[in-house]
Amino acid sequence: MIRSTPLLCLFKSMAGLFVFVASVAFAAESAPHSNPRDLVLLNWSEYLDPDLVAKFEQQFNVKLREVYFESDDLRDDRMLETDGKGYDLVLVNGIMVDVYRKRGWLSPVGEAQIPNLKHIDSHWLDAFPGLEGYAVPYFWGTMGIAYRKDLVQTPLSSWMDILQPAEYLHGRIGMVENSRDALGMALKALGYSANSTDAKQIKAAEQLLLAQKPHVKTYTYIALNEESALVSGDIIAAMLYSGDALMLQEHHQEIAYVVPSEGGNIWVDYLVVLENSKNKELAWTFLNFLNEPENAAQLAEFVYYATPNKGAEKLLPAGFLEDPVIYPSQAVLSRSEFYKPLPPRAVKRRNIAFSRALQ
Amino acid sequence: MKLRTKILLLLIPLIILPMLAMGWIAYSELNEKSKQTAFAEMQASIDHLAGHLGLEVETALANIELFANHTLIKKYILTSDEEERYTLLQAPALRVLASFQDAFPNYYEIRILLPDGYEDIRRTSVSSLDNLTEEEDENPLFMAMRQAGDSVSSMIFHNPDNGELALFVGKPLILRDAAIDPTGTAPVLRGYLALTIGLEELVSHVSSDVIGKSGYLLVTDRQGNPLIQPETVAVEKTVLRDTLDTIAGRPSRDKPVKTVFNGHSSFITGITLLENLYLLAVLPEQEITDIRYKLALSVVAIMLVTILVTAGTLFLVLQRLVINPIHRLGVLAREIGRGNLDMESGLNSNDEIGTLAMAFEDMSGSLRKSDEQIRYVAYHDTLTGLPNRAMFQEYLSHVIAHARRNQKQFALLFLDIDDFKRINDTLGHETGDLLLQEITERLAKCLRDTDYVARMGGFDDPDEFLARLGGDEFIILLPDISNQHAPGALAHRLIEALSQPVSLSDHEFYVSASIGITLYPADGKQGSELVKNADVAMYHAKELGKNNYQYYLESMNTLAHERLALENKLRRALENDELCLYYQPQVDATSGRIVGVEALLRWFEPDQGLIPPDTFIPVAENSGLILPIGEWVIKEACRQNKAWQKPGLEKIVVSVNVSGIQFARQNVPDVIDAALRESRLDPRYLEAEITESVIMSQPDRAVEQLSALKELGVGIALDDFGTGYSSFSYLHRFPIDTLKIDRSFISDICKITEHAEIVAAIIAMSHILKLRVIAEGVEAEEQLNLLADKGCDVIQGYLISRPLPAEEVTQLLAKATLKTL
Repeated sequence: MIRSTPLLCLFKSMAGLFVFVASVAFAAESAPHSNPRDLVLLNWSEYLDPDLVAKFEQQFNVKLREVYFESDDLRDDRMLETDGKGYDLVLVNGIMVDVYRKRGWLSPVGEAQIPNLKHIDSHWLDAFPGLEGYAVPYFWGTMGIAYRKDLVQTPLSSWMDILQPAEYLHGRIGMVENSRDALGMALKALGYSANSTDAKQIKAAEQLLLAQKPHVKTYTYIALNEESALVSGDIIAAMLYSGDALMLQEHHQEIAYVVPSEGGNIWVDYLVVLENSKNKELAWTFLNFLNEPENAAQLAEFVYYATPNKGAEKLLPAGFLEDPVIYPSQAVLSRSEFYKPLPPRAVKRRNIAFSRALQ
Repeated sequence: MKLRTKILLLLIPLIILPMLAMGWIAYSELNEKSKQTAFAEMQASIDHLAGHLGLEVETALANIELFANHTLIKKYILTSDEEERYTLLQAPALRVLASFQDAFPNYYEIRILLPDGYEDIRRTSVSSLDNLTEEEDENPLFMAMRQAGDSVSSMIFHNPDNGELALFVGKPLILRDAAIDPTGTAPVLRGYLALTIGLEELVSHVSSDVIGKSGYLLVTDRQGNPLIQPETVAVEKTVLRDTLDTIAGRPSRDKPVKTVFNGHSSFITGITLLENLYLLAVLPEQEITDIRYKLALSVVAIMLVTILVTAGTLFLVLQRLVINPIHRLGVLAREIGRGNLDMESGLNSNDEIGTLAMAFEDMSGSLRKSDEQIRYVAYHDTLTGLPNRAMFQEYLSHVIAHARRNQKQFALLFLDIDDFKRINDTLGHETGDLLLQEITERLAKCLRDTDYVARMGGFDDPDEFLARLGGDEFIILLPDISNQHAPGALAHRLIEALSQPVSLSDHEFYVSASIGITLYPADGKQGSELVKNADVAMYHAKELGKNNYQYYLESMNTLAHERLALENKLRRALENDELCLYYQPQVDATSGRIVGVEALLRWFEPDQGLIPPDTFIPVAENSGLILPIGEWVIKEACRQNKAWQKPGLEKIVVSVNVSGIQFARQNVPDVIDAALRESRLDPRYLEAEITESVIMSQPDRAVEQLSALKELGVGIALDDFGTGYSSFSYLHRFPIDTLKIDRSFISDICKITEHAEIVAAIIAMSHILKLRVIAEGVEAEEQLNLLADKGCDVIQGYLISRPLPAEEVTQLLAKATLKTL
C-alpha cells in the first residue's frame, strides 16, 4: 500500500531544505562583493551584545549577520547540511571543536591573527582536546535548573525534581534537545558520571528520560526574552545555562537558578573561523575586537557569563564576579563535570539511547 | 374418477416435472457458481495480499534508494573515522532516520551496517525493541546482501529481535568519497542500509482472514514451514512440502489444486510472494460439500414450497373457476330434475361456465313457466278458468286440515245445473260451453272476490272456493261458517242468480240448479264423504223438483243407495227379460174402432214385483240405460205389431215414446230403420212419440231427425201437448202427423169451460194444420162425448182400455171393436 502523503512530505521537506541551502549559499557567495562586507556568525541567540555589534560594524564597516541555532545538535546538523559553508564564524561547544577540526571545517587561529588572545587564560584551551590553534574561548558556565520560585511548592535542588516531576509540574517542564546535556544530566541524576559509557547506566538514563517525556512541555531551548515561557509561567522549571537564567531574571525576578545537588555540567564555548570562510581576516578582526578587555567585559555583563578574558575580569564589577551563578562555588564546580571525549561506540550507544528516549 | 382428481393428476406432474428440471439446473448452476465464488474468493484474498505485499516491497525498494541518497546518510557512511562519525554525524543521522520513520511508521527499524556486518547505526521507532546484537554478520539479510552484490535485497523472515515476521530490505551503500578519492576511482562498498518493515497488516490479514467459513490463508517458506499461521487452524509444518511446487506452478490460477492438506481434503491455491515465500489459500473440501448440501436443501425446500404453492393455487383457481361452478351446476341440474325450479346458480362469471349457468337459469325459468302452465292446466278447468277437480281435492284436504286444527266447521255445496244434459244435447256443445261460462260468472259474482290461481301456493287462510268438477257440476266451499244457515243463504243466492234468463245465440234460456249441502264435520270427516253426501243431497233436491237446495240428511243416503240398487237391477232387467211392453189401445172417436196402441214399458222385478215407470225411467235416463232400453222398446214394438198383422185382422199403428236423451245421443232414425227392417213392419204402422220440450231444446236437430223419420215413412206424434210451450207457430215447422193433448187438459175438460175451449181450439187448429188429434187420459163418457163433439180424432184412456199385455190386444183385435162402441 502506497502512503503517498508521508513520501510527499519527505519530498517537500527535502525540497525546502534545498531552498534553504541555496539561499545560505547565495548569501555566502554575495558577501565578499558587497559593501560593507558581510560577516556571518552561527551563534546562540541573545549571546552577543547588539551594542557591541553596532560598534564593531561601525568601526570596521562590516555588516555582521547572526544565524541562530537552538541547540548544539542542531548546529551540527546545519554544519553538516552545508558542510561548513556559508558561515564565517561558528560558536562551538568545547567538546565539538576537535570534531569540527577533524572534519576540516576549521581554519587555524592564533595570536598572529588575533593579538588580543593574549588576554585569554590559556588553561581554557586545555579544557578539551584539539582546541589549540583553532578555537577562541568565548564564555564558560554551568548547566542547571532555572525555575520560578513563586510557582514551585519547594525550591528545586535535584535533577530528579524535573526528571521525575511532582504532579503540579507535569506539562510545565522545559528540556533541551541535546543528547549530551539531557542524557548527561539524567546520568548525573542517577548518580553516574555524565560521561558514563556503561550500557546499563545509559539504558537507565534512557528509561528516566523516556518516563519523563510525557510531562515535558518542550524540548526546545526556551526563549531568553520577556516572552519566554518561564516568564509567563507556562513553564515552571527548565534545564538552562546559568547565564541565560540570569538574563531571564531581568524579565522576572522570581526566576531562580540552581546547579542541582547531583552536580551539573561545566561548559566552555569557543568561537572558530571556518575553513570555507571567504572573510577570514574580517573574522579574525572580529575575534580580536571581541577580546579587547573592554569589549569582553561589556559582553560578559550582557550575557551574564564568566569570561575567560583575564583583561576583562579586571574591568568587571565585584557584584558580577561574586555572583555564584556566574562564578559557581568550588563545591558546585567539584560536583560538576566537563564533558569528555568518549569511545566512538559509547557515543554511538548514547546517541541511540537518546534518540530512542526522545522519539 | 372425479374431475378434481383428474385435474390434480394432470396438474401435479405438469408442475413437478418442470420444477424438478429447473431445480436441478438451478442446483447445478448455483453449486458451480458457489464453488467458483469460493475459488474466486480464495484467489482474490491471495491476490489482494500479494498485491499488498508487492506494493510494500516496491515502496520499500523505492524508498531505500531515496534514503540511501540522502546527503547526510552518504556523509555519514563516508565518514570512516568512528569518533567523528558517532560524535558529529550520528545524532543528525538518527534524526534523519527518525524523519524517515515519521513518514513510514512501519519501517520500525532502519539500520546502517558496515561491510563486516557491524551494526553501525540503528534507529527503531519502537522503544521497547532491544537490540540483541550489533554483530549482524550472520543475519540472513546481511548474508543475502553480501551475496547480492550491488543490487537491493528483499526478504521476509522472523526478526530475531522481536520474533515477528518482517520484511527486510537492504541496499549496499557503494560510494566514492569525492572529497578524498580522486575522480575515476571505483566506488567502494561502505556499508549497507537496511530497512526492517513491519508486516502487521499482512500478518493480521493472513492470520485472521477467513475464506468462506473455514478457509484460511497461510504464508510459508520454501520448505513449507508456516511463517504466518492462521488463527483458526493449526497447520503442521511437513504437510506442505510436496504440494508447494504443484501449487505455485499450476497452469491456471483460477483452478485450485485439490489435495489432502493438514489432514483434510482441501482446495489450495497459492502464489509465490518472494523468492522464499509462498502465500497459500486453503479451503477444506468439507465446506464446498456443506455449501452443496445446504444448497441442495434450500433448492429442494424452495421447489417443494413452489410446487405446493403453485399446485395449491392452480388447484384452488381451477376449483373456483371450474370445479365448483360445475358442481354447482350439477346440484342445480339435480334440483331442476327434482322440480325445484327456484334455484339460482349464484355464478356470475363472465366465462363459458357463466354462460352455461345463465342457460341453466333460463332453462329452469322456462321450465318454471311451463310447469306453472302445466300446474295451471292440471289444476284448472280450461273452459271456465275455475279450479278443477284435482285442485279442488287438494284444496279441500287443506281446508279440512285447517278446520280440524282450528276446530272450525265449513260447508260444501254441490251444485248441478238442472237438465243441463238436455240443454247440451238439444242446443249443442258450443252453446253448452258458453252457458257454462255464463253460469260460472254468475256463481263467482255471488262469492267473495277471490283469486283462485293465487291459492296455488298455500291454503293457510281458506276462503270461499268455487270449482268445476266437470260437466255441469260445481262445488262451492264455504269455510269457517258461523252458523248453519249461511250455506243455505248462499245456495239461495246462487239459485236466484241462475234464475235470471240467459241470452245466448239469439235465444233466451232459463236455467236452474239443484244444490246439495254438507257440513264439516257433521256430514263427514273425509273429503270424499263430504262430496258424496253433498251429491246425494243434490239428487234429493233434484227429486224434489229441482231448482232448490237441500241440506244433507243421513236418510238421503239410503235413498241414493236405493237408486243405485235400482240402476243395477235395471241393467240386469234388460238382460233377464224382466222388461215387457203393455199396449194401451187408441180408438177412433167416431167409429170406436181400434186404430192403434201406445207401447208402455213395464218392469216386473222378481223381488219387488211391478216397478212403476215413474220410478225407474229417471234412473234409466240418468244412467244412460235409456238408450239400450229405448232401442229394445222400439224393436219389441215393431216385432209385436208385425206379429199382430194376421190375415183378416185390422192393422193398427203402434206408437213408441222416444226420450230426449235418445234423440241427443243416438241416431234415432237409424235405430228405427233397423227395427223396421228386422221386423219387416210397414213404417206406416209405427209412430214415434216425442215431447214438446225435446223439440224445443234442439229445434234444428229435431227437424233433421224428424224429417229423416218422415222419410222412412214413420208417423210422428207430439206428446204431452199443452204442458210446455204449446206454440202452434212451431208446429208447422216440424213434420208432425199427430198431436197428443196432455191428460191434464182432458181430466177437467168437463169441469172447466176454458179447458174445453182450449181443447176445441187445439183440435180446430190441428185440423187446419192437417194434424190428427189424440186425447190422452180419457176416463169418462162425458169427456169422450165432448171430445167427439169437438172433432177429436182418437181417444186413449182407461175409459177405453187400460194398457194391456200383447195377448189381450191380440184378442181385442180379433173382436175388432171395443165393447163401448
